Amino acid sequence: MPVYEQTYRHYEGVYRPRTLIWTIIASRGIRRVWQTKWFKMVLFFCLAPFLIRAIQIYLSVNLELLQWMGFPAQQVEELLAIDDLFYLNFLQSQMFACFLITLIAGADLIASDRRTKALTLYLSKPITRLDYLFGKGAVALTYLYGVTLIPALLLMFLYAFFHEDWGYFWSQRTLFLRIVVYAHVLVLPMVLMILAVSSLSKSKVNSVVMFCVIYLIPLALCNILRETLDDPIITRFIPRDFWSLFCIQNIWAQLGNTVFHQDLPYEMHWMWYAAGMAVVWILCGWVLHRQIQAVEVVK
Amino acid sequence: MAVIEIQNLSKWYDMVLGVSDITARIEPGVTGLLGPNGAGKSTLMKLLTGQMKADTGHAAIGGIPVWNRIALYEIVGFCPDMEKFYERLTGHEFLTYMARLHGLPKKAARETAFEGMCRLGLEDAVDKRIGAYSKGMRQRLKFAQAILHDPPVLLLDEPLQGMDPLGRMQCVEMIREFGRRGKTVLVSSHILHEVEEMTHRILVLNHGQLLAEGDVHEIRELIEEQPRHVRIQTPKRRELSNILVAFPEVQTISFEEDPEELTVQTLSPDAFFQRLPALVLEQHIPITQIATLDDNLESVFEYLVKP
Repeated sequence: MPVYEQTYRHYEGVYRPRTLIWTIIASRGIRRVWQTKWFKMVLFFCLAPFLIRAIQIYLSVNLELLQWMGFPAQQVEELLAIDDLFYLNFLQSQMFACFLITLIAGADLIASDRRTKALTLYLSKPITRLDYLFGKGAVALTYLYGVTLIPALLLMFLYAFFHEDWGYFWSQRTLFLRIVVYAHVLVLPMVLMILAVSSLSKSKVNSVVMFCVIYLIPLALCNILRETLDDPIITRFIPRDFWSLFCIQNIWAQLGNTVFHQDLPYEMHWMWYAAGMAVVWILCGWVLHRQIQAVEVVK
Repeated sequence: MAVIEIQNLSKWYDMVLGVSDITARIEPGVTGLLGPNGAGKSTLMKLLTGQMKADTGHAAIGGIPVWNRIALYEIVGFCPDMEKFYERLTGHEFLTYMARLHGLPKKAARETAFEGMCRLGLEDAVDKRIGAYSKGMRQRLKFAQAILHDPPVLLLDEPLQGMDPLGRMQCVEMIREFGRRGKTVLVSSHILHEVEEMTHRILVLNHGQLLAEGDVHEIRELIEEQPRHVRIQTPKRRELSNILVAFPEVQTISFEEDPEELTVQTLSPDAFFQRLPALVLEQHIPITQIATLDDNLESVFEYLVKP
């Protein structure tokens, strides 16, 4: 058995900047999720719309190929148009992918630490609660970028590449900004919601169930209320679209169309939906503030 | 000069008292925080590590107020009372991760983690998953993460719980060594002799209150002044009690509900236990069980709080 000197050596080298400590939590979490069973397969499945859109861009450059195959030129051109709506549709089609990725990457982020009481360990190190949350949130955020922002920007790159038009990025700089803004409108509430849900449970399964309930039930309820209360007497007092405010998917749809200057799906002003989004943020922040404590008080 | 200063510290969990109006000054060296389960030791530890906010009072370590100060964790190493870990990580990976949270670069963190494992005698388990660790090994790992950054102040919450004799010996020696090197170590335990092995300076906590403060030997003497209770199980309890009444060291004898049990109160347990075997042999009185009722810490505290 080796015998080691029982003395202590204080590290005298350069320390990592305090502001970057959260990246250590993030990088470990990203690796851990990557090693999760089925994750890579789900991620690949979630990127299928990107492949389809990439093919669409390719075909939009090679319209003559389709015309040669007998497709009517004008219809094909309209169908394959690469405009703002193309990117908006792509991002909105990724909502389900975001949902899946969030579930897999995020459900156990804080739940596992609560289960193992690791919060006590984390919070006895020189990191703040915010560092901890940034680190954990960055795990889900990274993978959500992987199915929203990054593929959307890659589609822009592919368009420029196929058209050999590198000025595309400059000429479409507002589109670039819209993509960045809307991708964040999509992913940030997802991250906050899954962190809040994960902090409420010690079990991954419970977190998954809670997130599904929060994500899917309001959507169903909103649609039911919208249809059942579509009565002129009621709509005189409560606008028909009022109920859409209570569903995150509707908020995304309204804000997405606002960001991309498209026709709005709901009649109420987009500011109401932005306020709805703010409420989601505040609620999640409140839950996290309450839950992320080293000490679990058993009453 | 006191390194840890506690001033009128109180904490309630709604209507339940955690700690109440604790004032203490802890100087460099090892100090034992002694108290039965539920006495408020862990609460005090968590208040001192800033993981919980006190309702009243204040505490500071090295002049740094303990609540909401990141700088505190650079001078404090905390070994919490927890059993579960990241089971899939190896011990070395876990410690590397903990070292990196202290801001050490990757390479330095790995080296520090390896040294930490060796220091605690875990060098053979470096690449073993924590899931396969025994309870004692987990305790040592937990201890290792607290001393990774070589802090001047160590707060150890039940660090010896569940440890095997070798690990226990190493840990006790290490805690003593920390004390000898001028570091401030506050170590909690509910076992008196465990604390005695590490230090003679103790704080005694019970029902959230600071009951006594000082030398462990004084506590010992207090215990020895108190009468001891011995429960004896025998099918001939009436015959035995008739004989025991004549013993000068026996103060009282009482019969329990169980028809085969009686309890003897004595001021000289040593003399009583010396005399008892001979009696059993001479009088042919079978004794099936003997238990001393006062050896646990709870009863020590009961004595201490007696008016």
